[in-house]
Amino acid sequence: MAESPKGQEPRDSLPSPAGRWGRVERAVAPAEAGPLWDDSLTRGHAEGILEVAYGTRGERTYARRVYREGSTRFSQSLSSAGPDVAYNMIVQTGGGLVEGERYLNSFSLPPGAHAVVATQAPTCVFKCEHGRVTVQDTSIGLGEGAVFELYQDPMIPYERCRLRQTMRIDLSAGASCLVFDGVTGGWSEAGEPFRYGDLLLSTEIRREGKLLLLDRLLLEPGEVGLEGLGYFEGYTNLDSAMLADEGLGQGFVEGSRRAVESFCEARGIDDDVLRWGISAIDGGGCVLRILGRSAAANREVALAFSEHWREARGFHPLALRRNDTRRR
Amino acid sequence: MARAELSRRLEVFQIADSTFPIGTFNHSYGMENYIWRGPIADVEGFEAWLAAYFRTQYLFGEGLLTRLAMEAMDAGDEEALWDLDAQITEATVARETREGTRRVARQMLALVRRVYGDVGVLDRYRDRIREGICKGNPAIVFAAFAWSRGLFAEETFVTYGYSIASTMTQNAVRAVPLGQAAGQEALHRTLGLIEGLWPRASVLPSALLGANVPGLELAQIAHETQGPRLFMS
Repeated sequence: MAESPKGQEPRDSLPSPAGRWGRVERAVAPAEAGPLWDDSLTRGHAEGILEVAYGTRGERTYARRVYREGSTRFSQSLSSAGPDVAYNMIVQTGGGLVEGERYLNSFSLPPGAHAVVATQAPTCVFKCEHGRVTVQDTSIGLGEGAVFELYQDPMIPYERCRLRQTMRIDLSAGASCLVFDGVTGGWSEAGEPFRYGDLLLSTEIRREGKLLLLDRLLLEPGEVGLEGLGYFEGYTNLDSAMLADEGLGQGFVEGSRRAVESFCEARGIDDDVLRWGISAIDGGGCVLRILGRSAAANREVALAFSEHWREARGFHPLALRRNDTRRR
Repeated sequence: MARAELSRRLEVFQIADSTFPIGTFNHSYGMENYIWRGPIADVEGFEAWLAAYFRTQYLFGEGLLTRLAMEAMDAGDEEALWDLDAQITEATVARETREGTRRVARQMLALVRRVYGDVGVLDRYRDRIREGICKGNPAIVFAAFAWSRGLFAEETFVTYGYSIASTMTQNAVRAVPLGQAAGQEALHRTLGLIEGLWPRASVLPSALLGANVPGLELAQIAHETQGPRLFMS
């Protein structure tokens, strides 16, 4: 990605956004080997920090304050999401997340703002030789009527790695969010999938404090493997699109199923490539799940879903980079 | 065993019985999608599904929930109980499964009340469901009833697991279909599995409540749009 040096630097040395999404305490040493859900993992020093506070000027949304530390970078705004929408990329300059390190991302949008964030490439989660958990925590706060779209490439968990990823999204009235999230079969020397230690991917969406979605995925290959019935069932890649939008009812869910179905038919994507399903969540919106064999095919289907929603909302078409999804 | 304790246990057994009519025979929780697509065609397929269900969705879902609910009641913390109701509900992404579970909980509450009268915390649960503050989950109803009858968390975890396993076996016997005896053999082996889950269930943190695995969940989602169906979920 042709990124100017200016885009890599914090544009503002002000302290991070105040309030609920403020910076972490950092008095406690990094967590040692222990369970994925150890509380100390949420208090430790963070090696990578990205905090973005958006602002609005008239109709236009822009990244008003960007604070960053460590290897996580935030690109300058790209124009391809429409004239009034802030569109930036998260770049992991280290290529991935390192054992025992903690990465924090936070985004806060004022009322009426509209921002799009995408990762530049799949995120490698490097192997954990000492059993220490790698942590990525993201918090997102949206003011009234704000829209936030987060297109994350999948995580690539390396052999023996341990990852805990949590995402907490707080919506005000009328706000909506769309989040892409996924995990590949991972990387191992033998080229076999599911050689990682354990993974917990947890997403919590609330509107004005009320819980709308608590999506927790726990993958522990050590127990009985992950190939079998009930688990990955012959596939390797899991992707999700989580959409919370209170204007959407069952009609939208059915429409999005038809949209994904005709996309798959047109591309010749059948059960050999992937299986998918869409189900409504409480409070408006739905979740798309895709079990497949390639990150690229999964992503295309997820994008067919997101484009259907963006059209329904009347948003300017979005050209996300797609040439980064060929890796496993 | 003291006579009073024995009769309290029998009351819990009645609630756990697969013939206790709360509508569970209408729900396959995704199993029917596997039957429809082919992976469950015989007793081996059914048992593999049931084992995957108990190792994941039961262990982290309703199984863990029975323990957390009993701990909340031990601590006299009803707010924690209502919070568990919200968590388990919104952790169920498949709409049919979420709504089927609510429906079963409501029928269970009504029938327990009819047979056993007031059970303090269950009356307050029913009121909150009626007001739309809570959604309703059968594992919470079961745990509250078992707690009122003096059962321990381990007995509750295993007994409620038995209740689900025996109901699903009955459902599989008519839907796959399986022979009755073959079904009972699979059920017997599954009971050993459920007992073996308790040591882990007894120490799991609430942060894992509702943790899922992809295949089981996708089948529950896909059931919504599948063609011929015997079950509501």
